[in-house]
Amino acid sequence: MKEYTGWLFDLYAHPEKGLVVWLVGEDGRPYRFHQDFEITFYVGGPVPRLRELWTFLRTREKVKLVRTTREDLFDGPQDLMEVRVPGPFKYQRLFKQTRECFPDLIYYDVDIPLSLRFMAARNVFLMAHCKVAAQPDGNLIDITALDVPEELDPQLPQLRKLALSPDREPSSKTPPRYLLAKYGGFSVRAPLDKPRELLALLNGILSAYDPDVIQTRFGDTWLFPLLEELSRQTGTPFHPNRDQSVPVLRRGEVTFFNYGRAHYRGPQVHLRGRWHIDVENCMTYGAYGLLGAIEQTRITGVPLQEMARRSPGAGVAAMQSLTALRRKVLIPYQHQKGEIRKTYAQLVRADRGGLILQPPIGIFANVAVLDFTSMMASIMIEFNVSPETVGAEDEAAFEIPELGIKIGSQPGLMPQTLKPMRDKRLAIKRLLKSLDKKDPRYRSCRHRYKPVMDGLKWLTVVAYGRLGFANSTFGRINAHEVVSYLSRKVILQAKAIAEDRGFTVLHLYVDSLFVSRPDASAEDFQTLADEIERETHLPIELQKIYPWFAFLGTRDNPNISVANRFYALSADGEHKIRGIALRRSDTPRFVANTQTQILNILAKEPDPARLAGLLPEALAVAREQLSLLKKREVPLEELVVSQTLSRELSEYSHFSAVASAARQLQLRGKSPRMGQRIRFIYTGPGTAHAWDLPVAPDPRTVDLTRYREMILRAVYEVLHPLGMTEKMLRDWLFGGASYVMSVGELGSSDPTKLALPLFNDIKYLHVDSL
Amino acid sequence: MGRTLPSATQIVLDELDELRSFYDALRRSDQLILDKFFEDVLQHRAAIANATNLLPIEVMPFVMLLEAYKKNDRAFGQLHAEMQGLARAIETFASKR
Amino acid sequence: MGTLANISSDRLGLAARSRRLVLLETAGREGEAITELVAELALRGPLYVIAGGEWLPAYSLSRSIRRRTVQVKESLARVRLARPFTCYQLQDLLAQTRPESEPVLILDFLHHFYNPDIDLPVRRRTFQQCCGHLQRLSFSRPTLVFAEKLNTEEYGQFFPPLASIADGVFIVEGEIPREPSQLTYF
Repeated sequence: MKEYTGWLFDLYAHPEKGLVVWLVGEDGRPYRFHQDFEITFYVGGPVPRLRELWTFLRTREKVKLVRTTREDLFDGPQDLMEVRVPGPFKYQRLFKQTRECFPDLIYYDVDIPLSLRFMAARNVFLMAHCKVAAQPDGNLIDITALDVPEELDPQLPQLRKLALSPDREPSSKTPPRYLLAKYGGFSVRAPLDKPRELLALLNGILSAYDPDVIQTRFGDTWLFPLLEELSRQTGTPFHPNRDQSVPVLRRGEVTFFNYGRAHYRGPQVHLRGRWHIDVENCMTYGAYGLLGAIEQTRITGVPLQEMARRSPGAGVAAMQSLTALRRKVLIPYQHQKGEIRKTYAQLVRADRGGLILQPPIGIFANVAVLDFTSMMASIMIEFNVSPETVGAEDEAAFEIPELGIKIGSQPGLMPQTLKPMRDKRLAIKRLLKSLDKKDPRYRSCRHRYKPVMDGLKWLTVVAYGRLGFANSTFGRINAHEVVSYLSRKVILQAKAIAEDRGFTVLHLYVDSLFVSRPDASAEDFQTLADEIERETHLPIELQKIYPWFAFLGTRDNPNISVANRFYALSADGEHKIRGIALRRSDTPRFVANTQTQILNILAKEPDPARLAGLLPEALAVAREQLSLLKKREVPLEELVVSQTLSRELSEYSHFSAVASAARQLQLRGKSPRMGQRIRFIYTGPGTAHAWDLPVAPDPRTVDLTRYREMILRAVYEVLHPLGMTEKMLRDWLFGGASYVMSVGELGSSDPTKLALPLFNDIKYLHVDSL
Repeated sequence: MGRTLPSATQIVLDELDELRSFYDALRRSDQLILDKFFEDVLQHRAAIANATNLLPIEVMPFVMLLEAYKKNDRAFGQLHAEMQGLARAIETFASKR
Repeated sequence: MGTLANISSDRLGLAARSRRLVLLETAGREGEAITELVAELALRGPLYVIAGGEWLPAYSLSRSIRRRTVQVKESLARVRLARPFTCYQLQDLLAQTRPESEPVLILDFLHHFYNPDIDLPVRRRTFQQCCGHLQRLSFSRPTLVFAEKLNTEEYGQFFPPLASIADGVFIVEGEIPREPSQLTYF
């Protein structure tokens, strides 16, 4: 027997070896082990039927059958049959047969990923630093974790990375000509029209450099299928797996709706013994990169190649299942708990999300943003809210009379699942906050911890939605509603505390407060945050203080404000901008740049009363941009609009610009799918030219009027809080009117004065000067 | 936003829609005033939706009164300031003569 | 199979006295009519409404009751509601419903059985279990089931077995309610 120390890197079922486990050793070498691994599931139902099942199973495979009692999360102890199957492949076959013959029985612990089963059984986790004892033939005897997922600063391996990307996007007008390979300090450019040499190069890298991670652009949807095809054509083998006794794992493309929007995920190629990450085919990976993905894998138990591509919701589901397995709580299969019924009044009170209070429109000085950290997760932890605790009637239950419901006192599954992750995120945030930004350690700390924080943030954000999500195994809408209700109470309590201390609460957005007080210092704002945390028992942070904050109206009516549409500029460049053109994904770069330039001008001025004085400079920028547009000197790529196809092309009855562009691509042999982003340029009312067609659009066909209006809207968005009206802007930009009014007469940024524009006509008396 | 009931914006718009027959029977000049009231109501739509023990139509008049009070208060304040300015200007003019 | 020109509790009462499990096939535009029905029933006593689809009478219900009585709160308190979000949850809600005497209405009963994320054999099995519960409930309480007629193959698979267990089946020709207003007023 030999011992190894390293990191639990990969695991999967093997047709002959049972379970295969890969370790990346402390020496940097990969080690492969295998182990027989039983899969256990449970069956419930009428006793006569269970007897028939017993007879059925005894004749098949070498299963072990035991009568047992296990805990159902909602319904308590259940008398069941425990079925233990030797090996994952045998299990899949056997369960399918069992289900077909006994569809009326109730099944538990059936649909659980192998990684979670292994982690629960061996008390380890993926990317754990661990010690392995194995026989010389690789048979795994024992594995012990040497750290915990909550470790603030875990020791991680130095992974060997190979990056592969084409010299241009495969959907470009001209197809890619080269494949760029970067590894171990080397960089190679291999021509794609020499397949044998290309495959030989890649095989050489895989063999000699032996990367742990292959990070690609378009690897799932273009590169690996291409390499496979080239391998077939040339007869040159290509095996990207480390484990060449099994094929790569393929998943098909999928379209789905998430939060009301269509999404598309291309086909996937997962490797064995090695990771493949296609950054173009991942949902949130781009926000936190490899470090953040490793963190998610450590916390959720989902293998990294899966976790990088899937939504964070899949991670939370895995965490719940893992907690359930460790607590020996049954995981139901094709069975869910319905809502605890309520009266009409209770429904009206309960069926609400977080609280949002619209801000007033205008510009406000000295505004701080305070954020509750992982608010919904913190509420679940603090109040023990979980699908099974809501509605429980034990003596120590906490009652919410308005909702007519109680929260039981037995430790809930969800709070147990979330607490370690929430605490870790909080600890990292506070560590970073404690460092002075001028401290030389700050940059390296931030570089190290920010991806981890962002990776965890996504998980905590979706945990709340998961409580009420229809497809959630343990979800129950009542739990989701209790969290929403408590979040509203908490934010209103915070608002009251702020107002008692003389602050004006300008805006509330679920877990954020925007407060101002003209004379408040940074210490005053921090004292407020500390007081709110003390009173509510939920962690809150002073995120930032801005010299001024602009809240905007809706796009259709500037007199009606809307949440999440604002901008606040900071001299250090850490602006807070939501809902305006440059933040929207369908804004062309040219329009976004125009808006950015104007905001940079406004950012120079910390006194909101003097912002109107910057109008001439801002308007000069706008005029210059319009002039470039008129002279057709704007590069076409800066006019590209990118929009999501919201349904399949066949379902469009009226073709919008995006649908027209998709149709053009379809006629060229492409297959645009619902949820995919389509790029195009406007070439006339309702018409567009798809950007990824082989032939670029004629610059003379660009719909200048359309883009001119987009510039106008973008400029108006940022200038209207200063008192600018659309008519005024149109006159100045398109009507050739000069800026004749002197500073101060345009209109004040003080909203009380904006309310009475009549007085602005009185030139002999300047209201501002009183 | 919950799962089944309409959003705060939709709740308020539905209530305003209930007033349509009343609105149609008013003069245009009166309708324009009502439009301002409706803007004020929409500005406070989250608070209206938060008052779950009342029907939205029962809360809306309070919002209209609230905003009308604020506007009047501002107007009086500004008028007062302007009159003070006038008075000072007259004093200055008189003392120079 | 009968036809109803409108859904009113009197017409349904006549049907329900001699029928226990009543199935109403709707065209999908009867929101206002269903709201009026729930309001009428709420004036008479407690009832239980299961929203099988995405829709529940909301503020319109309180307005409807308001038109009939000033005792709005007391009437609304008689209405108990539950919303299944999958066919599994519908099955659980029906299984948990005790054989008491108050009427139970299940709106858009077939909605979740069309969910393609769940295999058809599984949906069929769950549907059969739900039908078993409907029959059980109807022994003790008036049970009204609404099913929206769709021109789909799956509707053709699910509706007939549902109709076969009902004591009475009616096609409703309800009024078309106003379209919900979008983000504008007037």
